[in-house]
Amino acid sequence: MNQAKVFKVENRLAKVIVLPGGMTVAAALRRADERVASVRDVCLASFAEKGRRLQQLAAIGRAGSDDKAVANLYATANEVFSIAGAFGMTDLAESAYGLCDLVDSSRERDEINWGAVDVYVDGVRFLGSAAAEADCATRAAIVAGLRQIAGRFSGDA
Amino acid sequence: MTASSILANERINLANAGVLLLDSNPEGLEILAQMFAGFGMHTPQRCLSGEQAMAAVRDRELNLIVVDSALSDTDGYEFVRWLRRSGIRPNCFAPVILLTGHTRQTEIFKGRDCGANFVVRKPAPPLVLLQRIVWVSKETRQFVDAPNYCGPDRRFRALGPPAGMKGRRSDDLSFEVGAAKTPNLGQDDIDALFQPKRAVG
Repeated sequence: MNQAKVFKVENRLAKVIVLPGGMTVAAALRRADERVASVRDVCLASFAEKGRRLQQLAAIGRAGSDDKAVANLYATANEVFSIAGAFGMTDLAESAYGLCDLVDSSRERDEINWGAVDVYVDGVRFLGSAAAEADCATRAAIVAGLRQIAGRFSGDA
Repeated sequence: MTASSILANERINLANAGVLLLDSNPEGLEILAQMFAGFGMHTPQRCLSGEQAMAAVRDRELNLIVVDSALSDTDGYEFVRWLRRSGIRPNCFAPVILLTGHTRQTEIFKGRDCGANFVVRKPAPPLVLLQRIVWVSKETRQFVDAPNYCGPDRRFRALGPPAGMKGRRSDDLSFEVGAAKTPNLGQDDIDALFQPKRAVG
């Protein structure tokens, strides 16, 4: 028997968004870009603390002394991915995403290669540091190395 | 309407919209808030946890909710599921845009099935987010309230059930088209459908 109810609901956003005033889409996008750019430095400054947290969580997870360490490691890497992606830092975003992938797929198999995690954490920490900003050659080498690790583990999965 | 069809000179007014932004990452929340400030929405309800967001849903009327899938005390999927079942009107029907970063393999279908209007993968630059906001503001899908799902109809296009399968919905058409039960229309009758003429006499 079909127990689903299907009905229309009022879209209040539709009524609000067309009220007189406001701005054009072009103006809204320009203003949004400017606003996001204005908080870039503050957001990027958080990478140092998040990098330290990644390192600590990896050490705790390896020691097996805290069940939540792996989940927190995943969550912190996800935060780095979100922020890096918002500011077009594609190599850092890719590396943080790769760390999430590594932790998640390892968790599925119930075995975590902490050596690989350490390499990823060090890579993410470097790519998120101010010192790395201008060092294109090292950045490229790190990303290439992390891709190799990712390829090895995705082949094992 | 496609999600990409947004005109540069189209006007939007979010100044009076009740917006809730939910992200446990403080920097992520700041980025979202700045984007919405740029869009003209300067006082969104900012929440760092599911618990804070639930309180906000109870306290004020919301016209749009933007939720990150990864939260500190729960996850975005569970929050949206709670919202849809909460019975707190009209907020339980408010459009929801769910933002996802890295998605666990076990959670891929959660985005579709939690009751969000739209799932957006990060990075979500202002253009992408604004396209989705305009899209959900023109949302015409009906709401479904069923034992295993509550939210906007997950069908974006009513194409019917897959070939060879019987539909589960009362308005799904039968796959098998039976034999005609009445005579076919004559050509004059078909022409009259396209060119209606006033009855004379």
